[in-house]
Amino acid sequence: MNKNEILTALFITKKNIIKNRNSLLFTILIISLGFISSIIIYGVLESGAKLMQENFIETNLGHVILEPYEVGSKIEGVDSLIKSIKTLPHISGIAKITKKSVRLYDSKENYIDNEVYIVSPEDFSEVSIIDNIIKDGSWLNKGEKDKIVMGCMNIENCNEIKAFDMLELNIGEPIRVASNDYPINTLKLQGIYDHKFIQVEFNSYINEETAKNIFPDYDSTKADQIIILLPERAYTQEMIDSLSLMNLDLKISGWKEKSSKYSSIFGSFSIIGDLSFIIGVIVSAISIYVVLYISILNKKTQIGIIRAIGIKSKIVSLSYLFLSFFLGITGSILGVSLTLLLIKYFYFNPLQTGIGDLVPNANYKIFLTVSIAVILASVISGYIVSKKITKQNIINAIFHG
Amino acid sequence: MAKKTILSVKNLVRTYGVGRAKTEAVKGISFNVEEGEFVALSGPSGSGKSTTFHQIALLDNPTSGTITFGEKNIINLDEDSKSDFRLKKIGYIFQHYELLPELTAIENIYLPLMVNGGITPEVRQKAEKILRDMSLLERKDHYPAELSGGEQQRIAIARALIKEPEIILADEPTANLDSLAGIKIMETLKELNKKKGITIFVINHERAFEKYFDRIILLKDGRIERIDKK
Repeated sequence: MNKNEILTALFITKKNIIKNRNSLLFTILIISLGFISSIIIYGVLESGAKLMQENFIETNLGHVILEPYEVGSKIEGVDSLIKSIKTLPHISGIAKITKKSVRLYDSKENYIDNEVYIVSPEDFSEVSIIDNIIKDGSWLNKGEKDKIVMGCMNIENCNEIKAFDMLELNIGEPIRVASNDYPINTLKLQGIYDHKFIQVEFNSYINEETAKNIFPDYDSTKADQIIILLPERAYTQEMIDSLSLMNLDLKISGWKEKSSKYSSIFGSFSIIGDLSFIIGVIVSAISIYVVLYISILNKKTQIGIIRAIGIKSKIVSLSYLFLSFFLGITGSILGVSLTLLLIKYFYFNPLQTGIGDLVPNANYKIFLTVSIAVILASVISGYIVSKKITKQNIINAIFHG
Repeated sequence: MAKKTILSVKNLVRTYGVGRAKTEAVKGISFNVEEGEFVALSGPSGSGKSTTFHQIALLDNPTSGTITFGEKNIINLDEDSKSDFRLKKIGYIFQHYELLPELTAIENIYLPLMVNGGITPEVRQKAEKILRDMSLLERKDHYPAELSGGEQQRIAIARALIKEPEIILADEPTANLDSLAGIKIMETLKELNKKKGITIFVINHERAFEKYFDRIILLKDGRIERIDKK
């Protein structure tokens, strides 16, 4: 194909765009809507999965968790270990945790089976946001004995819907702690924390002094876990590598691995996200094909006339290839713009969900992938349709177009 | 001196459909058109006039027969060569003008030349000269929808002319025009034939225009009934 033939194809495309701008605008809008649907659903699900992970990280998991390999055994010499870990870079907070399974009773003999976290209040504040999300009462203080902080899901008057076993308690009211191995003790409700993600609201927290009182065998030099919080997720592997070099006889896990008991939820989110993305792109490609098919089909007569005056089919096909490319590019640009506007809107008006406020998450890679997919779909559709139509008998195209 | 044959049609057959639905639109017609002639193909509706024209202009493929243009049988050309043939040798004028609605009058005229040399000032001047000759220069930037039937047909003639074809095939160019506009079109074609020596082959079934033609080939039921000479 020579320069003049390409210029002729471009001329036909240009005139087509100028004269049919309204219908083409409609086509561009449809392409951009396909673009938006591909990204937004994926973005919401991705953001949902990330938010759920973030919820676990910011409350109970941190980014890196150290624990004994053997179930039931403890980390020995935990305080000196924490001291040496603190020398590593990128540590925002580090805390030890010991967990005890107990049964908690209110004064009306309602009970719940609960996992109590024994923590140092100050250290735990550095790795968790629990102290910042106290809805009623206050967070634990060092040295203050017989106090407990509980999650909203355990307290009846904290929830409108009673979906689980709960205690009827108010701040300052007594809670009996019972366990097979320990004598019964009474604590006072110091605070109730409230998180949008109910999954993290089932735990209770006591300080080490309280633990010594109610669990006589509690040894503060030992712990079940050491939790490390980093400035951001990206440092996780680096921290795991640094800890591995310390030759600790401990299992070192990243937040991703540790949240594996919830991984089916994340996995489902991820799979649905990927599926909706793929389906979105396929649906967009099909819509582009249909819209271009209708659009080019409407030009059947014109295509016949152009061929009748002696312009080769390949020039006509090329002109529709240019048109499809133009539609793909402008559809993608409009799609990117509208999606960014929509994300901006969600940024100021997040989706209120059970796991927190959701803002669709879309990075440049997704935009690039969808743009390439949309442009490719447009060009391939345009090529197929124009090839199909230019193969038709000219007389049929002109008189039966 | 005998005139050179520009177009020779031999045993041309065009059949549509198969089996019981089979229709023979053209049933083995043969005729010649000489260089510089002004010939009419005439006959009642359904006699095969337009079908014959479509085969000659390579807009459709005949079932059998040969069409020789100059010395060359053009039936078996490949698609690109057929396009080249339509672009360089033939100027086709449709009954319903068939202008491209997206292009202005002047763009419709010079579009065929773009493939060979782009839109040069010479191409524009040539298109404008033809428009001036057709008294349509002031309408050059109008779109087909803004032009009358007669004006559109003259633009269609100009589009055929700009290529300086060896033959112009005009399929009932006056059919959709009032009598005055029709006469104007016929006068234009006659003038082109006389002054420029372009061979013109017209489908016509109006008796009033018979005086313009050197010969009239009369078709009936897909066959040549007779050929009338002036």
